[in-house]
Amino acid sequence: MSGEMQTARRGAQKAGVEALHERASPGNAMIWVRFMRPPILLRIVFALSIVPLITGCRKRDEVVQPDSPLASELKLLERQVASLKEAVQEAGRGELFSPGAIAIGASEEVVQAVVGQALPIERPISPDFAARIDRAIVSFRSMQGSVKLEGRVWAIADPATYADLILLGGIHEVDIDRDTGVLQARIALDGFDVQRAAAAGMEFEWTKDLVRMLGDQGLVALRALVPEVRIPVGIERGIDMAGAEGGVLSIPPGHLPLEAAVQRVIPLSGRLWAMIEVKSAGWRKSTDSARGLAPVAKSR
Amino acid sequence: MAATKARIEGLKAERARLQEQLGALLTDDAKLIDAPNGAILIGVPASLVEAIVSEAVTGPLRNVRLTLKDVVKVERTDIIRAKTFLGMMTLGRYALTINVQEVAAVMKPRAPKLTFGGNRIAIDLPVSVESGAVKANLVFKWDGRKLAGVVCGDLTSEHDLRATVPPVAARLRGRFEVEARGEKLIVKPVIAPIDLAFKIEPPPQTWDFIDELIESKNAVCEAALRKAAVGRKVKDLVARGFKVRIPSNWLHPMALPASFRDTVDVKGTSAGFAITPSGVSITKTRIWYGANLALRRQIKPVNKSPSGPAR
Repeated sequence: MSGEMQTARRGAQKAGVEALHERASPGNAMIWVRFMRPPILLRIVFALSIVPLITGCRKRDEVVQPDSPLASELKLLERQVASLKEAVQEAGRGELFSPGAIAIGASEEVVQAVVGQALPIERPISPDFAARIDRAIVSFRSMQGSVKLEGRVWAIADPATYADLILLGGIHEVDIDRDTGVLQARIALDGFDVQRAAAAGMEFEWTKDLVRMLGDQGLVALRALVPEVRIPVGIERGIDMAGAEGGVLSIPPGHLPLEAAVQRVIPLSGRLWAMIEVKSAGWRKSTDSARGLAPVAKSR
Repeated sequence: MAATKARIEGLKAERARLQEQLGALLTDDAKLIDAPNGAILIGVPASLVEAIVSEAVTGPLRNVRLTLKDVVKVERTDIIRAKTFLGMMTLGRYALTINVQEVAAVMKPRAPKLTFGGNRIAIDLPVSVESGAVKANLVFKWDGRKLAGVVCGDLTSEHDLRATVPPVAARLRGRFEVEARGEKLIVKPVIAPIDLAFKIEPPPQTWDFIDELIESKNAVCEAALRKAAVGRKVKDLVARGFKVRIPSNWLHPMALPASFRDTVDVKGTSAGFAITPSGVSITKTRIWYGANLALRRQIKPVNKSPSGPAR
């Protein structure tokens, strides 16, 4: 496990979730080029011999390639098992579903619909290439929150030259928007997959350029394609309480400031659960400054 | 390759075992026992609701100055008969009116006891009223007319009373009902007014006026009034104190701090959702609020016309 991932996992113990895939460094990003068109079948042998050179791996039929679907499934299973072991221990201590925290659970369909609202996202990813994300598929199973973004990448100079693009990532950094109180999450990219190049006679050179560019830049070039996630639940930063005047009892209007922070995130049984810890310093008389409210802590 | 496949199968089996183990360890909360259906669920813990309700009640009452004006008017009338050398005679009737004009005191809440269950949170809050002072007006009216003998005649005395009130213990009792209102969960107070029974502790010299009143009459009258214990009766009346009812209209419905939002902004795009509440349920540990969500509108669509090749 890389040092970066170890840091991510420590963060995940606090409030984040484990990523589906390890954060890919530029050298080991998941790259899988699949040529589909008949005219280039003759080049497959050559292409397959080149791809390992790019990715630094041996032939697929000898060993499992690190970026192959099989390897990807293995990684996911290893992470799920590791997360489940932790969850079992925490559940045994009664700490998994914190009894004192607000629990907000959004189904996969809700998160998918919300993410879908921001799509399509279309951006140039280099001077030569542009990409678009059209569809998002999320999964919250076995303590893993994974996101699959599907789209297309094409040559700006020739939009007919394109490939399908899949971005793989995980829900990360769940927190509360300071201004609106809305629960928000970020998708961290873990890898990408370029599939089905389609360009007359240009596939190999074009795809090679694309893969080289993505390999050089890692996932940085693709981050602008990742939508933000807003879960349509808000956490108030306080409760206003009207007073009473004119009776035998005079009670000034007051305010109960609340400080909320995401304590942890649990992807479980098809829902993304955010556990929100709420604290208050107690009721106080309303003043203009008091209505400024306590800041909302940001948590990972 | 074969080893990898075997490893995958092994991990799948271990995952299934761990899932089963986790399922057995999960609390009812995590298993969503008694939670409503819904694509989005909000579960507010009972402990937080209790803390909010408790603070909402005790916070405003903490050291609140209680100023009661024109509080109460207490009147007592009595006919005084006495055995005199002329036989049993009606000496007169008196009317004593205590007009409590003002009570100033400090109210302090104690620790509330909250009981979470059903669709309500019951509250029992001990309250004490301390450091009280009373401004009152005593009117003693002696009516000797139309009575046989006319022993004492008529007289009226009015006297200002400045007294303290000893600490008063009372209880605020009622409940908070939980209900869903659109996107929010509301706790609505249903609280009975607080009944405060004040005692009055006037300084000893307060009663001097009664003695003066009695002594100002003729000897026969004085003897009769003393025998009839007019002074004690007046003191007893004052000592009974008075009751005041404090309304509970200062408590208002409150929204719990987590709610559904029908609009969220995503990178300059405002997405609207139709939130359809699917139910509220209250367990011993949480208030659950569920809703389903449907896309309603796209307010500020941006970048919705892709220029690249379609998938």
